[in-house]
Amino acid sequence: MSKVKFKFDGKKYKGREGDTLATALLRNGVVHFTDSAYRDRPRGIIGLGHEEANALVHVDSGAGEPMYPATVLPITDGLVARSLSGVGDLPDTRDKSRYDKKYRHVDVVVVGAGTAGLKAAGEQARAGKDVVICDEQDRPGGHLVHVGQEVPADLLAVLEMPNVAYLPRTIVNGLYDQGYTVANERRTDHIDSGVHKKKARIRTWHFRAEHTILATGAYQRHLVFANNDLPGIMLSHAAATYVARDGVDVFKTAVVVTVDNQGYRDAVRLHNAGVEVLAIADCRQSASGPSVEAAKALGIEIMFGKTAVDAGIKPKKKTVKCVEIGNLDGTDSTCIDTDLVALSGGWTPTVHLGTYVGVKPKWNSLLACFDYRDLDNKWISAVGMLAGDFGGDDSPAIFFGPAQSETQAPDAFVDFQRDATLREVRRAIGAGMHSIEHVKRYTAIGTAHDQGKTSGTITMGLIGAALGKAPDEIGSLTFRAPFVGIPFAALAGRERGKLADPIRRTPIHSLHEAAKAPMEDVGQWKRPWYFPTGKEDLHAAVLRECAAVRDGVGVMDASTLGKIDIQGPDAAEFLDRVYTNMFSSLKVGQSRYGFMCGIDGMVFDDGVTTRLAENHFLMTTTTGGAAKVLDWLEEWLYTEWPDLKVYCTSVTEHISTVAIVGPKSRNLIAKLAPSIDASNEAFGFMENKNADVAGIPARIARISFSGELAYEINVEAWYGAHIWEAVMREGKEFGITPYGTETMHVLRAEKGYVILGQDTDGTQTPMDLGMDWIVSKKKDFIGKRSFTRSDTARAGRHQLVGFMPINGQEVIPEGAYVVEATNANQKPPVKHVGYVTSSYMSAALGRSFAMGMLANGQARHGEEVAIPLRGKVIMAKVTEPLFFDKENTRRDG
Amino acid sequence: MTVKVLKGAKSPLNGASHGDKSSIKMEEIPFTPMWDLRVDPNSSAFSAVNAALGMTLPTVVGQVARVNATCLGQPGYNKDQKGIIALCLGPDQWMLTGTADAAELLEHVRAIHHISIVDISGQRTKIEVYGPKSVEVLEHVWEQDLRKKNFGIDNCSQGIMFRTPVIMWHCCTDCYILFVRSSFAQHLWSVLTDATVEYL
Repeated sequence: MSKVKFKFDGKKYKGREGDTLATALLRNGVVHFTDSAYRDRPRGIIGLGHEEANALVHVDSGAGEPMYPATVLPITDGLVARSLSGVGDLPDTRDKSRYDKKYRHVDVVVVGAGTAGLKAAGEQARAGKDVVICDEQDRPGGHLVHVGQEVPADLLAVLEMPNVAYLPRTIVNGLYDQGYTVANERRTDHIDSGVHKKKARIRTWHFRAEHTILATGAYQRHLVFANNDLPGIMLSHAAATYVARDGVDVFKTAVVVTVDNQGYRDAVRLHNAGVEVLAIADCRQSASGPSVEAAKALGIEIMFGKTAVDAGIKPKKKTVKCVEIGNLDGTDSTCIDTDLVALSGGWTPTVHLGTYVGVKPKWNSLLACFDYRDLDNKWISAVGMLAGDFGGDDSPAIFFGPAQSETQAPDAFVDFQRDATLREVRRAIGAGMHSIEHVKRYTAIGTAHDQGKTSGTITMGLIGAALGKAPDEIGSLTFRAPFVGIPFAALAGRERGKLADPIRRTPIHSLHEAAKAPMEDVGQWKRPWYFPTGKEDLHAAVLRECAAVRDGVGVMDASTLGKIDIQGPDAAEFLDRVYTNMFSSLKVGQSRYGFMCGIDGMVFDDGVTTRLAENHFLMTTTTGGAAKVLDWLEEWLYTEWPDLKVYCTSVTEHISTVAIVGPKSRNLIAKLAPSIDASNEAFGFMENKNADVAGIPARIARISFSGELAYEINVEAWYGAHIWEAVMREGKEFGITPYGTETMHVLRAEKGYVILGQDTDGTQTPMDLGMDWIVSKKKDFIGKRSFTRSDTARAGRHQLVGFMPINGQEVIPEGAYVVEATNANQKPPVKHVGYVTSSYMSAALGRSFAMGMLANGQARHGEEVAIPLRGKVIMAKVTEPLFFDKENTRRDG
Repeated sequence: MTVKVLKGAKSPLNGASHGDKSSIKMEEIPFTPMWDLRVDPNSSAFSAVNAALGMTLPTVVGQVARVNATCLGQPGYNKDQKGIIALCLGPDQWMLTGTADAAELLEHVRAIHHISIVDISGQRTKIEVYGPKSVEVLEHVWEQDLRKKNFGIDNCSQGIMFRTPVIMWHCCTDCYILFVRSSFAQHLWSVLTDATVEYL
């Protein structure tokens, strides 16, 4: 067996391949492992697996691990770990290991590859089911692995069946409704302590199974008596396994304290491995069965009606020195010096997964535990120890510890990790708590990393004893996923960094990247924010871009706008119902800007819709609203107006749109599309023409979001980049200037055009925005009825206005609150009367300007208001929300 | 007539390919024609559509029918065939793809009946995922059931793959077609190539 070198708490150790850290340290004589979290009491390893309540470590090597039980941590060459006193810390280094996920649908998931699990899996597989077996250990056999027995060949053969997948080192952490099972497979930690970039270190499996078979086995529990937490006091099954299977030889003598026949079996294993078993203290008055006979045959002294009542410490080694064995009422005790006290407090079947989905375990008084025997559930079954099939002659007593005095109780531990003792349980009951859930929260028992795997049933027993109630009257703890701690990285899987969230790209995106345009997030889209030349910052670039558009011609990628193809004989009627304004009157080949309201009468989305043919429209929506609007349209068609013959189809990404904007755009469009007459007479505002642009069939629309003469060239997405390049090439002679979203925002704000979602927040009617003209009085439409609601119709609502800073060099921050001028210098709290939604420095105006909402704003044009900021106040004049080209003279070029 | 690809066309992934067909291979099949077809299956328009397309559209959501559209490498494949593949995506919605011009075939039906046929070729691009490890790779990114008994050949499904809307079609043995929204294509491609790491 090869030697493995590792470091623990700064010291070098050697271990054997396949050892856990706990095994390797015990073999090296480390019995005092750490000190407890709250009371600094010396603690040792007590368990064998995830039930371990003391021996937590932080792993520094490889991918690291902030808190993990030494009992399940495989040692590999180069492992560096340190003990924790209950409190972990997250490393600030980046975890470079790979983590991933898999989703698999199967017929049956079997949790646990012990004898019962393998048997059940075999039955299912032979019946033709696809089976996945998840097992936390690195080899099949469950309990057999602990006791060092071979797994029967017929059970091993199950793993080789073609319809069986076996996942070792895979712990099921969650079970949810409809057979949804989440498991974590540790795939590299046992190989080496390095960082794996190609092989996922932990894989999170998401299974959907028609049937889930729980074969999760059981954890042994300890007994509650004074100083039961000393290093060298262990669960008997764990102690016997470390000694008999792994060759740990640090214990020369042992005393077994038991409530069942498991203690006898472990005594025999310890004895056979060379440990002198000084006595078995059995709380029962008598015991029988093969396990008892075997111990008797070895001449081990058996003390019936006795249990451990106290223990003493070796002050230097900080391990157990002796155990006091006495009557169950605590009297008549004698001290026995020993290295090891092996506790067999009975088995607690691992009912956690079942409780996650609300399946209540039942008290089994014959086995002194809660289990799932005779479970009647259509998609979960339980087998093995979980189903009350202990397979031996256990016959445990319902006993959790002897009578303890007020001086002993504070040192009689129930939950080691939380340093919670019998005293706390008594206090909880003394304070009037009867429910185990209340006692749990009062004492913190069961709230540590191990979630009370050893202490839960004990707590129930202690409460029952104190209240004189039967265990089933107290009930079992409710557990919650995950069964063991999982690193966040394992939950994230590959969804981190660049893969965490999609970036949506227009067909022209790569050209914007090549132009080194900084990008702005618009929903999931990345849109060019501005196109700096040289060392320009945002401010300089936007002033230049704005001026270029107002004086020459600019180009912008408008491909992200939502687009919905709407057709059918009732399409026009449908649009009349969803828009506040009329669309049935729109002529073929023309476009119209429209507002949509929710049923509350508040503006919901806007956009330009074009009538392509009598019964065929193309709607545009806001960039962020595309999916929402399509859902909205479909909902009305399906639920309210199924009689309307209309079909809607998303074509957002089928069409790429390049907008050319500015007084010189007519010259450019004439050059790009020589087949059309671009004159204002032949191609008016809001008209559409079909023409080839750079060899590509295009629909050219005269639409403006800046107040300038402008054209939008719409082509199939494949040609978006081609058209952009053509515009840049052909536009050179006109000084074509690409511009981004910031310039677009400034240009539209200068004209007082709102951006839904920026200037609105779902509480504005069209009238609040001063757009009464867009609301038809001739027809009904969604939201119309809400306009007459008293609050919607009242005077003095917040209304859209302009805010002109008195000092035109000051730009008001967006989002700033507006107060009455008389309150300008008042200390908070100050009543605010409005807020700023859009605010910019304008090249065209040569000054700053802003828009926002103001109570009764439409009646307050000309008045002065104050915008108090930290350390200063900006005074501003209220105006109409229209700042540039108020006569609309620029639209037609 | 087939759908023409003009000079200057660019697909979202530039025809990218990745992997090795002995394990897992992925390719973008650029410029694939696609149409969205909407018609009431209980109307006279439906039989007119079927007659015009020369096939019976499947009426069970998640089923795929095809005419003259055998997969490459399968018996009966003919590269000159003008075929149509119809994916039933909803009770009255199909995605049509293939080498024939479905819009042209349905033009006369549309003139008489209430149907909608919309060219959406640029809306999505087509990624072919194939090879013996294709299911293993897709399991990393797709939550839906990929077992042959529930998602056999000529089954299709819509869903979200790593936050990306995808239509998936199981087209032949160990071969899956993903129709992904064009704006998400690069993201999905990064996700898919990343998912192959352990298999190449």
